[in-house]
Amino acid sequence: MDHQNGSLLITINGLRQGYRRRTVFDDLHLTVERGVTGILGPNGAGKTTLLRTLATVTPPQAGTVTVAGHDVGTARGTRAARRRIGFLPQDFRYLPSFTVREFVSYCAWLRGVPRRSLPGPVNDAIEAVGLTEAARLRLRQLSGGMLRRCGIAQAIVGDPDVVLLDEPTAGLDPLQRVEFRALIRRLGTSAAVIISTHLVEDVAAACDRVHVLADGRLRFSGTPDELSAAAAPDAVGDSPMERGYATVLGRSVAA
Amino acid sequence: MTALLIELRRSPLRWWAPGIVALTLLLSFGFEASWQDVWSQASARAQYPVLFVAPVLAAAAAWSASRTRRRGFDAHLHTMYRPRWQAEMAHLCATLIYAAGCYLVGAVTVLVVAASAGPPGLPWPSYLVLGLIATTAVVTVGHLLGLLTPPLISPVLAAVFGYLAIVYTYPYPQWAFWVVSGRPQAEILLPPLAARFVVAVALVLVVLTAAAWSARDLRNRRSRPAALLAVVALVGSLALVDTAGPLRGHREPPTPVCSEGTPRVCVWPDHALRLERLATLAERLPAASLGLLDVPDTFYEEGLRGPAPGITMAAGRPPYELTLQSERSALAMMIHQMIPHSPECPGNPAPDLREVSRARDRLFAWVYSRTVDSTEAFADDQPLQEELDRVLVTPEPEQVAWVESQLAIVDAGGCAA
Repeated sequence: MDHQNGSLLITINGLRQGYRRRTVFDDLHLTVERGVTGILGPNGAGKTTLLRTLATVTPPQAGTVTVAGHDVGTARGTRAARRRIGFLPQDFRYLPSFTVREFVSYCAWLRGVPRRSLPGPVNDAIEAVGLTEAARLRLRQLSGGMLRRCGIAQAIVGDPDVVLLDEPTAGLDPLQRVEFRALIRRLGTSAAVIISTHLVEDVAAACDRVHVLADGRLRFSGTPDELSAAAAPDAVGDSPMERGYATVLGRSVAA
Repeated sequence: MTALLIELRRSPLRWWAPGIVALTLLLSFGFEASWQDVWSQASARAQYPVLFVAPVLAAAAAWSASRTRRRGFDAHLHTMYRPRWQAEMAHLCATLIYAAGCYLVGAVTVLVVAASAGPPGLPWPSYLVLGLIATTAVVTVGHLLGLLTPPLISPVLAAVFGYLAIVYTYPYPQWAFWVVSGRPQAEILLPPLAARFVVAVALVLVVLTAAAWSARDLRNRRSRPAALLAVVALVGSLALVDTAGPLRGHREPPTPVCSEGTPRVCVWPDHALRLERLATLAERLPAASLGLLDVPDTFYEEGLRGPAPGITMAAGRPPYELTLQSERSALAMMIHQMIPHSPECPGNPAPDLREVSRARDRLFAWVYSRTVDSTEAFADDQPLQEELDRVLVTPEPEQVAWVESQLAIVDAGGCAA
């Protein structure tokens, strides 16, 4: 497999993952290519656990996980992979006394972006999320939506190969969500962008592929159109994709 | 450098530094100013505020260090390419730069003020380095407590620890990280100073490994030997301090500076600016004592003819050489050399030596008051001051008779009747 130059950037083979005695995944297999991938699923399906595993927060209990060509089951591989991963966690935490520019610069430094090239990527990331005007504001002065955008900026700074965004549109207003979708479509041309979300319209509008997780199992893998096509006639939902989503979850009986 | 510059801009110490500098200057200049004309004293005074300022800085360091846990940002740090210790090093360096800056502003101000008094010689860098090491060590421990203890109590713990660590090690010359004053008779020795520097470096290592350890990245097995190494370094550095000996030792006495008059007064060259005033006082003593007490040909400052006594040194000899802590103490030491002692009676001691002691006190006070032309120095002892006021206005023959009566008590007082 050519991870560096090819489109395959994430490979999961036989992943077992969980917390203490609770197993979230057992024998999960998944590949992710360059482009935008949506992870859909109800609460507790394991979306966040999957992203945390890919972000190297939680090492795999069993199986192999390869990110940008690096096995994250080893210390060396984990460190190398971290340089190529941008991660926006669901509960994004920040340092409120930092300005937007300082925070994004700091995160770029933490990710090992070379110092000489720092101002460029930092400015690009801030501009990409529409925070150029607010770059000098302290994070404590930002609204929830602006904070979320700052979180996205720190995840995409330095053009990582893999961008993991857990509920990235939470807190964004409708116009910002439209802009965000355009942003991740752009990112998807050069990186593997994985979005965990409840919102099927985000997936429909921005994703090249979609995986549906439920109870730690992969229920569906395909394109958004294929998910829409999987809809049962009596499935619940206001759009074809919502009905397809409900169908693969086995909730095909209308309320 | 990127992270350090950001940390410098966002450190809470950036805003607290002016207040801390003000506290430093208050502690340096708010009390007695007898240090200003002697370089060793001025240099020691420059590190004096460390006792109070370093705990404040430690509290600030603890608060700053706890920010990642207060904000839940540590989980984010653990997913980054750079090891946690690198992020912590940038953070700690910024804190130490502010701490050192506050210290140095105070120290330089003290030295500039001292320089304006024109003391002979140069500042003593060893005292300045000692203060810097103590500040670094205490602030680093504060940072460590900020990493390891609950954020809301870590500043208090850091401040209390810093203060107690300085206060409780001070009486033990082997362990002291701070001095009250700097007499020229003593000097800081290089081995114990270097050992204290090693302790500060070891503490920095402990902070960095504690940060790496807090990442709980069990896949990174290198953090375990690093932590072990840091603990060994810290224990080793403390053992080094224990074996390096007392912080200060006796300074080799130089050729003294002596006055021309009679009696002569000889002092350390460091005290040259005080010689003229001391000589003036000494020259008054023969007349002040009406020739009834023996005045030595020369008064020597302590340490010129043998080791000087002191808290951090073995007791020296003789007991009544001049100490130049103040003009009053120097004059007192001169007069004490003039007051005769009672003959010792090992086989037949007097049952009550208090009257002898009082007679010696009266003689001392009489000479002292005549020398400075005032009894104010004895205002705390009302009966003594009243007696002095009565005696000093009597004609000289009556004063001679009074002095001889006191000398008789002293002369006879050591032995039982």
